[in-house]
Amino acid sequence: MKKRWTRALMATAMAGLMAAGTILPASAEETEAAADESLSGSLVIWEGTSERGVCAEAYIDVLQERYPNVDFSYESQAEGTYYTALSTAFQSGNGPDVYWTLGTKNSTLESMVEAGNAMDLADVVDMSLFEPEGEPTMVSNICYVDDTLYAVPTSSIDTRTVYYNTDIFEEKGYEVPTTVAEFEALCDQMLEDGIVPLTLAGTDWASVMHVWDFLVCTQDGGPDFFTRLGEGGAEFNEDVNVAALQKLAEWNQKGYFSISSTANDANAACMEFATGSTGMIICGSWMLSTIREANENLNFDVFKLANDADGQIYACITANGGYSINPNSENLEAAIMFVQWMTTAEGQQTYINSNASIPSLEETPSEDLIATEIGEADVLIASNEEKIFQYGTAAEDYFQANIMSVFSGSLGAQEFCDNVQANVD
Amino acid sequence: MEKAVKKKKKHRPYIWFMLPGLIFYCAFMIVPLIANFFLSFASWNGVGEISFVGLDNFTKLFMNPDNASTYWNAFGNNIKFILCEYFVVVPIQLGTAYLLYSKIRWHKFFQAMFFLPYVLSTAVIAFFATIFFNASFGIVNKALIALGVPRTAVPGWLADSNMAFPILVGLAIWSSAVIGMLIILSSMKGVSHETIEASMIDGAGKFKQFLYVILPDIGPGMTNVLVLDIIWGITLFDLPYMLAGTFGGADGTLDFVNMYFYRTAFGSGSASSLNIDLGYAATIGTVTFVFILVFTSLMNFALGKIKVWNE
Repeated sequence: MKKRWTRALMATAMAGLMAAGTILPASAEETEAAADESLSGSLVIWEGTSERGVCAEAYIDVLQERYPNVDFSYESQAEGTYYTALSTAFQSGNGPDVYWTLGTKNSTLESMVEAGNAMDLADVVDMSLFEPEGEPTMVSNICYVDDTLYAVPTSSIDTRTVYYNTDIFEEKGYEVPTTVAEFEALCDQMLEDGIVPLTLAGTDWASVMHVWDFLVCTQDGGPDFFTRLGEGGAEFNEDVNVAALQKLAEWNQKGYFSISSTANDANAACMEFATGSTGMIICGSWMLSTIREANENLNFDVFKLANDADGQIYACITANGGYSINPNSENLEAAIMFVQWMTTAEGQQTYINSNASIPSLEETPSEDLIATEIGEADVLIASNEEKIFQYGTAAEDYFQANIMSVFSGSLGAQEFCDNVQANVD
Repeated sequence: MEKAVKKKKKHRPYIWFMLPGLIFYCAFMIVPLIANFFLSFASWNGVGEISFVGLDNFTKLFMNPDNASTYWNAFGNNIKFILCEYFVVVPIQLGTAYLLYSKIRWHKFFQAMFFLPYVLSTAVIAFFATIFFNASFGIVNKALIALGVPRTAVPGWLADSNMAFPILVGLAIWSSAVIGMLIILSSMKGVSHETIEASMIDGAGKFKQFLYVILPDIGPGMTNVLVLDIIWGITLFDLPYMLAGTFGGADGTLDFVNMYFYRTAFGSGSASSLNIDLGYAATIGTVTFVFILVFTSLMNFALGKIKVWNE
């Protein structure tokens, strides 16, 4: 008797619930909200550098509302210690649920896969946003190890540009140069006017390399050299590569770079430009937010220089990296939710907007005018950076330890490039 | 049998008192030291398996011309720093300690002033140094420009490879010379008053008193200072790292052995590079440990000889 009553009550309750679902139009949203609430636990995201912290904050702002029962948190490390901290965390069994790396660009992802710290995402995510033709692109290629997908990319590109102080240009009546010759004439004029034209982070090998890359793009035969270098058909010490580096050293000897450039790190160089101590700085697109933070009242804009031979603007670009899942995570469901969200236009747009990145997808335009301008070029090509990480430890060691000496003038460009080539595995 | 039991009981408190300290010492000093030694024969990037490579890391350090040149440049800077400490810092420490020992006027104030920089963290000292000596926005160059020196003619200070090292030594003197000075001062205070009075009765002036009475008697304190200077000189890291970056400046002017160790073990400071080798870094650590051991032993031996001559 009791059973019959219980069944009757349950049937009535279910019928009531079904009826409510049919009658109330708002119930679809409520069902979705209920589904969101079903996801619980915590999700720890590790971002690569402190500058990337803003990305994680932006993701959490969006996702926390959607998944109120998930406890989101993130960590970011100082630039030089991120990978060590990441590997130590995994060694001690405390790896994050989701973590950012530069993918195969610097062999991090291969190491993570080899150590069993990266989950195969092939059946987990839909990559059609990044790969409309079903093939890996420059941005997504760094997420594959042995043709298996282990990361979801962030759809931005890193490139190099000249930032200039518009107030100084307006005050002195300088024209924005379009060629290297015009640029050099401008620097000479600035020196005559008592203005230090440029600054550079001379203690940071990557910053020196970025200016070098920028100069190769302007040289006759430079873009072709980069293309052949990427395909393995060029030697590192070819004339065009050496000439561009030589020009960089000559510029320093001519006094185009500030006297403190050889002692600057990236932040100090940005500070120098942001405080108006120099008229220009050549550096990466990722420094845009750092320059703004250094002086929010600074009026500045960007430009690139055309290639000497064909007048086209070539931009060296590198992929930005991606997010991987720790396969031993206790919060796999939340981690999968996150990487799936990162494959949507909304996820990528959140990323682009959070740190003024240069977008690589039409679906995710930047709201930032200068960021959009930085991303504009006639041709996008890979750079020295893409290659040097593939040359092996000996070449990379030599490159990193000695490139600053070329800038300071204590080592010749030809000798440097010859030695890098000689150290290739 | 009873005697044996009693003997055992007699030793037990001794062991138990020592044990906690011994455990911590072994866990945090001896075990890492041994692990570092074994790791110096391996290759490992911190992720994945450790592979044994025999003497490859030592060959890489000393036989590869680029690595050897980096190591010897860094090691040379360490030696230069130690020599600066011996020939510049120690005489200053000795002189100021004697002035304070002689209870010159305002000696307590001076002692407090000397000690003040020591309580500042290295980060603060590096920050002050940058504020003062940055060639573009440092106070010194701003003042020079204000006085009429052309912007293109101001000194490079930390950006000038000839000036960066003296600035580092100057900062080291300013920030940490007080510790050696205090060790010497406490040794001076231990010199017997009777001996000093006897020397005064014999007609010795202040200088002779210092040279023939005080100096020979502060041997143990001086030994400590000189040995500590070697250890500090070889293990120097934080200040040059903050002043000149991971590579010690564009020309390695401020590159030291520990910085080479750091960038090998923890990367070169760029997020785009995962070029780390903990095995090779351990080799640098092992070699440096051996050098410290040899130098401090030699110094102890030499100072022991001086002590014997004095006696």
